[in-house]
Amino acid sequence: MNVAKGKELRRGCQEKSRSGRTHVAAKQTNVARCGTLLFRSAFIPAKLRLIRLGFLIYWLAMKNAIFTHRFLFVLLAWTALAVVAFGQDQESALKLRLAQSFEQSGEWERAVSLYEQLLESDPLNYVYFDGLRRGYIQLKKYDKAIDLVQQRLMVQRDDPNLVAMLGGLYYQAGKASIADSLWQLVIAVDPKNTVRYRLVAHQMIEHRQYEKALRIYRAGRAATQNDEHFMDEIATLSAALQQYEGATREYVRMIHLRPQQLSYVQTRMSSFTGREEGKKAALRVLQEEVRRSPGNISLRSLLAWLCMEGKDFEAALSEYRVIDRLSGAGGMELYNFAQRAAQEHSYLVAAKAFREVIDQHRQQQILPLAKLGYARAIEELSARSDTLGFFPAGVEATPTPRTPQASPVSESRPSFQGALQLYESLSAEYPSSDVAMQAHYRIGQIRFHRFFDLDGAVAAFDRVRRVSQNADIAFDATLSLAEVYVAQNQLSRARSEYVPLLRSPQHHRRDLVLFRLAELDYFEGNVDSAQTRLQSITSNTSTDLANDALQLLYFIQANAVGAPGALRDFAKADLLIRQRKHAEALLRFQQILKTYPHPLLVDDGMMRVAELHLLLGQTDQALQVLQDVVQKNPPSTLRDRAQMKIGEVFELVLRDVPNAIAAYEQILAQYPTSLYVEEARKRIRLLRGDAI
Amino acid sequence: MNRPVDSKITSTDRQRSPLWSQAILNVIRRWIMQGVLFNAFALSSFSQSKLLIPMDLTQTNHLKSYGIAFWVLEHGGEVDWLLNYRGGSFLTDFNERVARECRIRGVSFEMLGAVEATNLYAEVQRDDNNMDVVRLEKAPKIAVYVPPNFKPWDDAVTLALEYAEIPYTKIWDEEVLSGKLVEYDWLHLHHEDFTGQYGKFYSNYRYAQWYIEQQLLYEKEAARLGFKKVSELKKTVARSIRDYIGGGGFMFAMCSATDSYDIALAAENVDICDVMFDGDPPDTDAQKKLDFSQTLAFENFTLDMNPLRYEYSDIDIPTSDPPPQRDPNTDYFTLFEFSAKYDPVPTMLTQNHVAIVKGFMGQTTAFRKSLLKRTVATLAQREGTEEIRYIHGNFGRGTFTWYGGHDPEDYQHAVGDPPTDLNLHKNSPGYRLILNNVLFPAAKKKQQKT
Repeated sequence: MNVAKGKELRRGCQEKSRSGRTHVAAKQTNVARCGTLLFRSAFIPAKLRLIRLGFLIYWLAMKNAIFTHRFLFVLLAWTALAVVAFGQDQESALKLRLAQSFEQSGEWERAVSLYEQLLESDPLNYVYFDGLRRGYIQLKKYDKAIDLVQQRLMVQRDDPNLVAMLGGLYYQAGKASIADSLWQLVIAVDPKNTVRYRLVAHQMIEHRQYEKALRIYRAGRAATQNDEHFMDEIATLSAALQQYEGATREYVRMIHLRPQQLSYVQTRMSSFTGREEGKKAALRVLQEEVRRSPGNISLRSLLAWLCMEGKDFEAALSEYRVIDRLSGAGGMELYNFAQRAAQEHSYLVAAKAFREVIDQHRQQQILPLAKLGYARAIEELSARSDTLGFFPAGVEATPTPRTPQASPVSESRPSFQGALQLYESLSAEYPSSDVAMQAHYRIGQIRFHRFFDLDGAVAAFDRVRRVSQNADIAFDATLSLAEVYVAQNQLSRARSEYVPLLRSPQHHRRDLVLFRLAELDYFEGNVDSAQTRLQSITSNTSTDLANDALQLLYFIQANAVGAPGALRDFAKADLLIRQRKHAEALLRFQQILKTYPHPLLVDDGMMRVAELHLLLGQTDQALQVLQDVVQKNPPSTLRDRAQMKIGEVFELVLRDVPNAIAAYEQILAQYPTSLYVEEARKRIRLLRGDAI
Repeated sequence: MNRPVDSKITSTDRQRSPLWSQAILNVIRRWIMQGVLFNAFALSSFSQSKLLIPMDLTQTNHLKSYGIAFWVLEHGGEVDWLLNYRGGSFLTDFNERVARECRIRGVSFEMLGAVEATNLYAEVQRDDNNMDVVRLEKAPKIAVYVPPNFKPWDDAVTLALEYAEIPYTKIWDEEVLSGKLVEYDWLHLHHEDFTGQYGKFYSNYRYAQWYIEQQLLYEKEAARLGFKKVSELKKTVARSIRDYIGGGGFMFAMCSATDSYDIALAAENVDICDVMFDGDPPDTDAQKKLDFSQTLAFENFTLDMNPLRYEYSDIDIPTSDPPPQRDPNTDYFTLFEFSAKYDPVPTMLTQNHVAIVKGFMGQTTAFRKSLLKRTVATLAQREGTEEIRYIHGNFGRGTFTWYGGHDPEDYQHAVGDPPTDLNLHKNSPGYRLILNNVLFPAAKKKQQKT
């Protein structure tokens, strides 16, 4: 009805314009007619009204040229009417908001009633139409919803969106065949138009017709004869329908057409490659596609990514070999892959990849880094094959071989000696470089921790500092060097190395140096100084170092007053342990236990004795001492720890499962509030083979 | 020392004279010392001593305590459930194996001498105490009705069973329809939608891969079992379960498995599913055609047939769509107290160390009081409201117990939320209510006091 009013207004004004009459009567007639139309226009939609009013004022001004008193009257009338119209606008906005809030609270009947009123006042308003459509659907008034859309179609003839929507409504009303016909009609009007396929497929998905939607997309692709169309849609639907091969084929197609979308494809594919069947299907398709297009780098990258997702780094290496060659990367692709494999702790594959970079790409900038990576991988592989005891400190001094190995270094026979050779050759080949610093540092670490070759370690750490390319490595090297001096019993030299490090701007590094200095004070019997340093560390309780500091602090505090002599001797014996003089330390501790039967020290001393017996491979003696801690020291706070250690010896050294379980059970039975209870419980269950 | 420890726990010496006991004790002690025996039998000579698993606030791990009770039953032992005594404690013959298992699982216990145990029994059975003893004799066989793609953390009951180390068997539609339910004493219904509307997740999740996959899986299963629609299959399953209960089975359900189950039974002869669920529109007079005589717990409820609303009917209170805005800190429900001697069953089901339990939401959070059948017993309610949280009823020779809400330790568990780690909720009163149900079928039926 309002559309007709608008047309009438427009027609009236146009006729006036065409007639060209200029006499007053005509003017009066025109003004009166326009005034009437203006009044009527107050009941038509707001937007139209404003446009038409603007047009009217413009036309009058142009036509009459002069603002007469009559025109002023009209203008005043218009103002009054505009106020009325504004009020009506406000009323509509209020109704809409109310309808929307009813909709949100699920009061659909009331929402529908308001939408009906709103649409009646403004039949062209899409917001009102859509709200009413939603309401009818919610109330299952499918017939009304169908009528509504059909009415809309009278105005917006052949609107494909409305037709597809109508199909959906028929489907919901249980008239699937009509729905199908309408959907087919949408496409048939313009079968080359991709938007129409999307509209129809969207409606089908809305109504759980996933397979039909998939067929529509495929039909659209065939009709448009363009393989680029609907790739994402088909892939997503196929994945949802668990047709993983089909989904992968679409992604492969995407890679063929737009290789730069590799990371997007990886993200999309990861939605199903996490499942075994999805991964297998994707692998099958990708391998087949790679065979078909062996020169496609992106495709191979996708396959390599899939292999790495499945932790098959060997297969990924094969792909990266080809990728590197095809892309002319000169080893860069292989190098990056090797880095990633090393990060994933797949050192064997990493070593292979680094070696290939070294052997085949000698002129590259990455060569020194690849050599360093290779040496690190060999070192890690050596550590893995190292079968030394389970106690961290239990590394016996082993002399560094003075003669080079007869056989060449390789990842198939990793050894620390081999790693040393590699680091030595690196430092010789790239002197005064960051790589040389790192190589010297690693040499120092291997010599100190693996071979306890103190002179060799000192020399290596000293060389690190001479290169002076990297301040962080220089700091670490100095710290390690001081540790070596402690092991060499050169405590004052160690101190002189530590002190300058206190200037480090990093808080955690300063704390570490402070702790080492406190240890030196303790070894030297300067317990007051040690306590002061330790207290300053313990103020920051969020660090692990604070725990170590607290432990040492309490030990010193507990014994400094009651048994200062015992504490001094204890510290000296501790220093012997640090210097890996285990037999000597054992004798010293045994002597302390005889000389100072102070209960606070006795259990700590016995624990040290037990640990030293273990380091010396004297398991029976160790067990005996631990049993003594448990049974003969009722007031000791270390009984639960000793009992736990007994369990660990049975479990990890003697591999005696029943006795290990029995020992752990003792913790549960005798020390139910111990910190070790949860761990003991867990170990019992693991040893019993329980599923935990 | 290394003898297998798989023998049954026995209490052969209970009836013997002290002299005999002493002699046998000496022999057995010698055997132990010689490493001949390291099993329960050797230690049963202490059987006059009792092992008390207190279930009050002193208990270190309430949930695993149920697992211990179940473990004792599994190994041929017996457990006395001391209703209303220190939170519903368990008492069994002292045995080193049981004690050791308690320690390993972190369950605290107390050892009682024969005299203390006798006094305890006397106290519990005194007429002026609202306590009683229920003897648990046989570990019930437990089945959990779950789809094949189920993860234990999808469902509070399986989470509790896994944590308490109570073994269960997973069954689904085929097993139910082939009559295998009779092999089990206790059936739990996973967070299931028996109406065939896929949990009514359509509005929010219809494009989610998991939703599409679930729908396809269910449709495939229905077709394989000879049903045109998933809703038809689920109705048949619901009826089979009702037959199982009628034949003496125990059924426990939580969250939406409760109301959706009764709705499915009521809708036996009417299609309530919209087109996006089963491909055709629902019956226009669906509401009128509901048959409430078929249901177990609810009647006169009104269906919410809007497919875009995350709600089945007006049984659920507060309504799930829109989700209720509540302060978890003030949401609690109260357990009803029953007479232990006259109403042992509801007493068993409400054993707890607290009387007021923290509330939690679910697709079905609580049941509207006015819609409960009169034969159904209310076990817990949100004080001053219409919200019934926990109900129990009889059907035929069996019983059903329904518990509203999804996860007692996750106030508003949403799709995709991480699983609840029960190691952090060892003493959860909400989870205890679930586990009370597991042991309930183990109770020996005794003559009711009249």
